[in-house]
Amino acid sequence: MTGNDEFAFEPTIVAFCCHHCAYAAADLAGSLRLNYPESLRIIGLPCTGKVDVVHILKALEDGADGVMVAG
Amino acid sequence: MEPLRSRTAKGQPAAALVVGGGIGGMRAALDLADAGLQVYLVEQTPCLGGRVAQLGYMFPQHDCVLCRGTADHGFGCTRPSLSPAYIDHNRHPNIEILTNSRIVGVEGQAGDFSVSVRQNPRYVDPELCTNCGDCARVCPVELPDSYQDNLATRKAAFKLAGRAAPDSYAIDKGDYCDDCGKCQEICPTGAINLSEQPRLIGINVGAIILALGFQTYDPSSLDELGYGRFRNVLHAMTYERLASRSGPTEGVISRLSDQRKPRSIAWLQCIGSRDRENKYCSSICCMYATKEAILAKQRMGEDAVCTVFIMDERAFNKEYSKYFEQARETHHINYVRCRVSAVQEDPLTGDLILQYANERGELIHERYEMVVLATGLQPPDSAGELAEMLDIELNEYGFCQTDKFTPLQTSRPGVFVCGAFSSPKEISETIIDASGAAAEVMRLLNDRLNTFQFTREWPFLANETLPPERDITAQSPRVGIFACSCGEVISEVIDLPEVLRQAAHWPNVVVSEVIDYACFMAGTDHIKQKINEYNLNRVVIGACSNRTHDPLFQRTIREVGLNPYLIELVNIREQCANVHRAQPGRVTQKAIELMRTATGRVVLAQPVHKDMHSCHPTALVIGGGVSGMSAALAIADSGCDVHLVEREDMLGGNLLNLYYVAEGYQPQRLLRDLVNRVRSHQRIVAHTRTEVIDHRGHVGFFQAVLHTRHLDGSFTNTEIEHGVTIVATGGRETQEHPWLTNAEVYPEVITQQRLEEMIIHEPGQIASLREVVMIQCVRPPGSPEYCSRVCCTNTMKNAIRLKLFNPDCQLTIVYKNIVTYGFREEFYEAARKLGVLFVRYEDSQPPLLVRHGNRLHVRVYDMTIKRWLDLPADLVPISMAIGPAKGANALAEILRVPLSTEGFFTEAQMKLRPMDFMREGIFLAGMAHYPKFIEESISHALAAAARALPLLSQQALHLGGIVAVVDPEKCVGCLTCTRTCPFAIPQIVPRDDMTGVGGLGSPAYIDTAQCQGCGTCAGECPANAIQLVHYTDEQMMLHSIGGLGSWQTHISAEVAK
Repeated sequence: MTGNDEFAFEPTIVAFCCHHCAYAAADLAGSLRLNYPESLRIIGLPCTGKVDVVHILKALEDGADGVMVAG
Repeated sequence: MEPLRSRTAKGQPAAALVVGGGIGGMRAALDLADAGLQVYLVEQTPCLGGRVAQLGYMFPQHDCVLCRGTADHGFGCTRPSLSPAYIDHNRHPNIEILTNSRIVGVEGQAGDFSVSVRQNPRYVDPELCTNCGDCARVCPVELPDSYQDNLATRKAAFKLAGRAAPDSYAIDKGDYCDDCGKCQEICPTGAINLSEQPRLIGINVGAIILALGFQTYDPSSLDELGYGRFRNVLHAMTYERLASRSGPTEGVISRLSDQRKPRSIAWLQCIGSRDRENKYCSSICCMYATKEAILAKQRMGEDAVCTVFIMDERAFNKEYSKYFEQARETHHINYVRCRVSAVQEDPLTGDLILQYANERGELIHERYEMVVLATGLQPPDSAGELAEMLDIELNEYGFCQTDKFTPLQTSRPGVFVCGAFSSPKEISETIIDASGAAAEVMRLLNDRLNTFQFTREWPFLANETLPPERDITAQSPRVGIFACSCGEVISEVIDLPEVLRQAAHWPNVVVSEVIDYACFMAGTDHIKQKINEYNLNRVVIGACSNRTHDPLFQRTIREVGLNPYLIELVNIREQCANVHRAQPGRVTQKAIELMRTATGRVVLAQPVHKDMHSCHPTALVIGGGVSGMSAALAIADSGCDVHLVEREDMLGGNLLNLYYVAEGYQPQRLLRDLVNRVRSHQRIVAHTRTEVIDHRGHVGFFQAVLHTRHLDGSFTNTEIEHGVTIVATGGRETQEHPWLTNAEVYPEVITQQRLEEMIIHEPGQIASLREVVMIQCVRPPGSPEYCSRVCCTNTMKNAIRLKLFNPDCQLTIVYKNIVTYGFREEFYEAARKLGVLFVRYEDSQPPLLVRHGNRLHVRVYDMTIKRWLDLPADLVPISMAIGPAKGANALAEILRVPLSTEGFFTEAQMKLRPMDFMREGIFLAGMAHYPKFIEESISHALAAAARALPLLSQQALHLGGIVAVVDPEKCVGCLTCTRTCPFAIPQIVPRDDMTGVGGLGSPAYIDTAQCQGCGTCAGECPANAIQLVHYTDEQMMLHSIGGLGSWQTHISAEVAK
């Protein structure tokens, strides 16, 4: 990020993560103490197949700037 | 000597020892534990996982091992991987892991061994270690990190991999450790005890499985390749670490000399294999080098130059030929057929200059920026010592000696072997071996199976009885919130008192507290006490990962009578405190939001129960060849009934036409032995002339209809009930080729199988042959191309026989790649020594048959001399592709299981579940999976039996739980769920008790016993008629607290109130 805070837009991202892989990867990131913006919200699911379009729209409607489906 | 708790039944040990905690040992231990035997898993390093834990990706699907559950990344992956039963808090109650341990003595005999194990101190109590990492931080000793292949350093206080099992640090107290004691001082939980002493442990077991794995070849002695002198000449294992996302460069491939990304990489094959020192083929290097080259292209862009210097392309498993094609066509990886004779370094740039003779014989010098040596596999270091201690034989190469027809038995009864210790092997074959060896143990200890019972009734494994569950359905939610400080790991980043101050105001919250270590006994006891004190019926715990700690806390609340689904574990450690240290102000806010959503979710949680089913203790085995009979015998010998179904008149399958094998054993003796044992076994009913025409039900309770043709033309249909099904329908040598079907035009052309018959029955004819040309890799026109795996060895076998009978016969083998992998390389060498000529062709110029006068000639373009040759031939034996058995299609449809593009049955997962189908309770064995040698079919059949036996011998199956539920009132019968379900479980069936929208007679029906709980149907259902239990729309969207993206604003507003 540049030093100019005026342009420092940090989007809120909702990430739907498969419990078996992407969620596990987020865990590993934690174990390794990597750093990422706190505006990422992770929601674990049994499978990314479970993600309904409605969930994605609902997240955007509720103010998320982006939605990531990872699995 | 300190004895372990003696766990014996009837005075005999109902236990087994598995030596080696790699992927093979882990798999074998799980199968044995599931069968109710106590397992001691002995591993010499501080954690499980072995070699596979160092690999970032597996060929050919490039599944990252990350989500496939190895030691590198935790074992939490439930479905595609090994098992969650290696997670510390969900450890299989029947597995005892002994790390830092070696066996030092073995006495006794099959069924009753006494084993002494020496366990070196870990100096850290895994029960108390919270992985805070303080010990490593203060440790002054820096050491090369062997896990990263010495590309990075670690401390003497260390954890082998980011995630490990046991998930704990260890202290490496070598000479370099000066006992400064800083780690012991700083450890916040007192887990470190530097004065710990080695233990000598006595174990009483009935059987032993050796899963020692392999070690990689050290190329330092090959001076001409410059390994060790030139920094940019790498060992393949070093490259694996560089390409791994958990490696020292996080997957960035860079040169060791200058950290620059190489623009060109060369792989040199057969380093330490197929040479004078190690004559055998290491079997896996062609595939892994191709994987590494594809990874290089993916990481560095398609313009990077990747060249593999190869002898033969040995891609002999399902989808592997396609993988090579993809490497060549899509990624433009060059394959050059030669051995590189020398590598020189350009000292200015660190580049490497390769010298080799190309196929035309021209001497080439070529520059590459990196060279990777595709090193071969060698027997493990400990093999010699262990073999002596155990009194087992090693073969001439130093690997464990096994017999072709008993591929998993060592020379000592009761001691079995799996994986690369018996011959170089890849992951999937190691897994097959491991389960197969477990089946051998189950057979041996058949009277002791199920001695140590456990249950999967709950989302955690348990072997104890728990108090009855409290009925909370009529109660209003009473939530307790607990936040774990985890020493200071969480509390030094997140302001926990602030979190709890806010939490106290949330609806339904009765109590909120900070706990020091929630996962310790004192922590869980405290939670239990509060549940009772405040009559809580929902719990939220802010602590660490769901993947590691869900089972612990689910068990905690279940122990005081709460349903285990009435808890939300919030990962404020790995997914909050640990990753947002740089944003101290906002991390507390995020923790509050996470806790708030969890509280919203837990209020909506309802108790979830699995359904209990009993398993019908009978197996159905389809196919009466070597695989089917081996599987049937393994199951029947272990005490369960078997229906063995064979379509033909006789049992035996392909074995009926096999007269000798390359290794010299007698297949007809094996056939007689198997048939006699099957026919006389009181637990096996063999149905010949029979096919399965209907199959329904779920794991534990299937029904099938067997259609039997009688000799008089009549038939009967028999209905049977069974608990598991094993598909062992085999394969066949295809015949559909114009050379064979036009016998009058090409009478000289026969199959290799026919040649084998001639060698046995018409030796006179063989003796009269002057010139013979054998053609490899012939397949029916229009059929997909793949390596049939067994033909090359089979051809060598026949070629050697022919040459022995008739040394003057000029024998030429026309081939694409000689695939004599493993120790079979010796037959290739033997054939060459006998004077057999080899001519290589390529697909672009396949061999032709031409007739000059009366004489048939094989016209082939010789790649070496670049010229067409006409080879006269009295006889042209061809190796036809091995295809699936006829009827595989129909059977796949009846069983509702998938087929691969080649027409073989498709397993659940290529690497880690090669004997399972996605559909639970159905297993796969032998050539129905892919062409296989006899020994491989036997191992596969035993593996399928090992997966079936724990189900058959268990008293209760618990199925269901988190499953998709259809609301028939809303179903419009659109079939979306039936199309999207990856397991083909939803069905539209007419049911009297259900109607859909508009009186629809057939709403969707999802069998809870089969549903895998992925929720795909729920996500796709356009009528919103399907909900996934525990993940309902309301639980996902949380309207009551403002939903998914607006917690922040919502919570601020609430706080402002």
